[in-house]
Amino acid sequence: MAPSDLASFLKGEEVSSDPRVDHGADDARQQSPPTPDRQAARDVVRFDDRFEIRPQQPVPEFASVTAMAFAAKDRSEPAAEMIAYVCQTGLPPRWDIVASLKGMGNPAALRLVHHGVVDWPLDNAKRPVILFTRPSGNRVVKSLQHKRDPMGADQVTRTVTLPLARVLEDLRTRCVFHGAINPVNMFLADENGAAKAQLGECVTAPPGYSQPMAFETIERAMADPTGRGVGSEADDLYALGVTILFMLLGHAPAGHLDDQTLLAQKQAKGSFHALIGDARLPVSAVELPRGLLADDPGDRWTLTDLDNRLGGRRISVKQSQAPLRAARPIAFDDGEYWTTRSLSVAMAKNFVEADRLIEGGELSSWAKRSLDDDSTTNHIQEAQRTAATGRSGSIEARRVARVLMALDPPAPIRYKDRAVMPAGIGDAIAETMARGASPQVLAEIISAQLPLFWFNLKEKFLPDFVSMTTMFDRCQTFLDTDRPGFGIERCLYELNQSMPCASPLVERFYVSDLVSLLNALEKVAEGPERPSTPIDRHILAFILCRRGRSLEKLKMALAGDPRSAEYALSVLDFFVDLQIHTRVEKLPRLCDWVASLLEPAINKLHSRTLRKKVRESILRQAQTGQFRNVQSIIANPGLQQRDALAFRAAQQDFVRAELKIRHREHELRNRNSLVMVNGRQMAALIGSVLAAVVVFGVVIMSAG
Amino acid sequence: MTGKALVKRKPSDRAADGPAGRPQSPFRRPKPAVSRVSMIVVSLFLLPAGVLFLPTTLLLAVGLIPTLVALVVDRSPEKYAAITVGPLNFCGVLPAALELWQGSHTVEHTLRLITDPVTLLVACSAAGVGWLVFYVVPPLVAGIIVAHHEQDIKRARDHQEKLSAEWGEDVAAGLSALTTQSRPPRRADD
Repeated sequence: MAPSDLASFLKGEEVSSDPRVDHGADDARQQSPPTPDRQAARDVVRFDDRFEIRPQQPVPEFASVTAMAFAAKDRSEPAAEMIAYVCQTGLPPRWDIVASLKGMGNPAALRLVHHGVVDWPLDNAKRPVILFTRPSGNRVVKSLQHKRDPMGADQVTRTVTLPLARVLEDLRTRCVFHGAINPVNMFLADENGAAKAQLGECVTAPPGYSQPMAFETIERAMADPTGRGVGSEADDLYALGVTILFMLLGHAPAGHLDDQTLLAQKQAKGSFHALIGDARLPVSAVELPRGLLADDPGDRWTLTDLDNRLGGRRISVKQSQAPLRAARPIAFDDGEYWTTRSLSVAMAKNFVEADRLIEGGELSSWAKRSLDDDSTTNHIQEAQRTAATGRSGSIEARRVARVLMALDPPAPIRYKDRAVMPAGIGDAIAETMARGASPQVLAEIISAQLPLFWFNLKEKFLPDFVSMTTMFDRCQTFLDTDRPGFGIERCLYELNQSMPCASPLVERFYVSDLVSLLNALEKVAEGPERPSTPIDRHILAFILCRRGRSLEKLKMALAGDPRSAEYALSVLDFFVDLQIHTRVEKLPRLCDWVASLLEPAINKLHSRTLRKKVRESILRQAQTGQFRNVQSIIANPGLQQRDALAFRAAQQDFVRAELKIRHREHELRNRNSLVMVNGRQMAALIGSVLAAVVVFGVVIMSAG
Repeated sequence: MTGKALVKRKPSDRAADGPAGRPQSPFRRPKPAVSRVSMIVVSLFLLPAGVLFLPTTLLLAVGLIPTLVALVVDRSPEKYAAITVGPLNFCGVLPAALELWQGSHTVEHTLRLITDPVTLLVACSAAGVGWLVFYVVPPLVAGIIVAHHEQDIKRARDHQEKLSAEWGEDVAAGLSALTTQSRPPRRADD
């Protein structure tokens, strides 16, 4: 299911498998009749020699927003029924919490059995798969638009509240935020009330991505679904409160309102009053949801409060404080606003007018004169003063975004058309890039240091903020550099440790680590249409992020001309390092691919004979599949030194030959001098020798 | 001070200079075979010897007239013509000289020999052979040297081609430095 199908899913339309996948499969069937092996592979996908997934048996009633569900079986436990969630959207599953959830044996939650990546025959690509025990019942409701019989307060406590409270305790122990607590993601076996609800999965999509807006706190609901990020236990408790309200009412609270109207009502009246509306419920029944739906996390019931309440103790419900109201309203865009939050919401809808309000000084004077809150006034001034920070985007947009944060610190970062929590920026980038859209706005948010300003506005600096501040600092430096290995691609992988490599080269292999990257490239290298180089911006960013070691020298070289010797040698160095690090034994085709890049480096040798021998040796060594062997030949300093020395000697030899030629030609041009000097000298010599012979003869004859 | 004087010269350049400090040319004119001092010394010994052995002196003076002609005719400082003709001319006079020394070593005998046409014919013929050598040998030698030089050039060009084939065109990069250097000076007799 594509991300765009989220709305239709929530509206209760029938969930169907991805039409693209089905068409592809149909085409494949039409093009070539399936062989028995291929047919078997289509029928059963073996997973780690233990599990069997049946692609031909989809279970649409259990499908999630981002993953299709298929029947599966554990071969070691044939009686256990399982379902496999196959993620096909390109969004990264929450691999970071999978290990924590694996050991969780709470019957009130689907048990995560196994996870990994399989060759998925329906689209001939590798897909992430998460195996769960099959839910014991059906969904509580198929969608939020569906109604069911209202439950009594006691039944809700028994069926939903108690089991889910135990699940939340288990999640707290594991430091896991669920983010998908709602009646659609809950299963109930027995409608008569004997059974207990079972909470569905939360790993196939980024946190909060599939959560309906009504079940999110005001601040998280203000953020884009992909930009909500990891929330807190308090956010899960809020979702539980809305779920309890749903069960009590038998339908979605404030279901007649659209999302934006509901959000506006929540902001105006508070969550509880906005959700319950005109519905009438017994006072004893509404106490619990009221405590869980407090908008101020400080006033909201904690898990301990919930436990105490379920244990029979009375817990007082704190009256939430009304937002600070100004002495007089401020006019903006044909409206009058009394609170900073309502003003910030209106300003976020019209950035141009908002900037005029800020630049005209009206906002500052309103804050000083009418808002009895020095902190907010100072924050507004600081926001205006620091708006020049950052390079990308317009200063006006940065100013408005900062002022919006100053007006409503708990709200998400609102910049241009995006609203994201700092913890959700990574997911938002991943989703945007998976859609093929431009992540420019999100990059501008990081470059403008908006997340850092968001953290600075917090009254309490939480321990989590330290690592996030450092990360966003690093991401800002990545974005400041346009070289390969940096840029938005690097931010994507740094902010999403679960993100598979999104390079078009290896996309279908679902590369989640360096070992699978090397194996995927080996397979790409086998193909006839492999590109000229195995490294692109995504792959480089992925390697640099996952390798966790500074390879500055190599990065610099890889920013150069791809046809240069330095580039080729750097690529080779990269793969040598990767092969040593990953201990992948043999990669002959990838070696051959990289060897084909080395021609410029070979051509740096002067001797043609040496080049030929080196070329042959490299090709021979590439067959071993060891990059180090190839490197030992081409990056041999002794060989290069000897070649350079021999070349210099050859140059001198050439010059000597030229000098000889010129000298001889000069002598030939002066042929007369040869006659006059050398010829006459020779004549004199011949004459003298002849005379000596004659004298000697005459003397001998005379003596005789 | 001229601009050339401002250029500092290396000691190695000065070492290659001649005694007067001027650069030596590879085609420098050779020194005369007999210097003026040695001529004087020789004369001091020869003049008394010539008087002492007057008959021989007369014979040689007449018999070696072709050599004297060659000495005068050849304007080159090396006097290769005289050096070529002289020894052979001497060979032509040698039989008469032997006869003089073996017979009576008198002026009369010398006059008789001088006036003998055979003696003169032999002396002149021998000188003629000298002239023949002087005119025939130089072109032959030049031809041989040209052929040898052409062979040298061909060998050098072949060698350069082999170097280019092995090392590429860059191997000739050193030639650019050569072209900036001055060409070899032309010899005075070119």
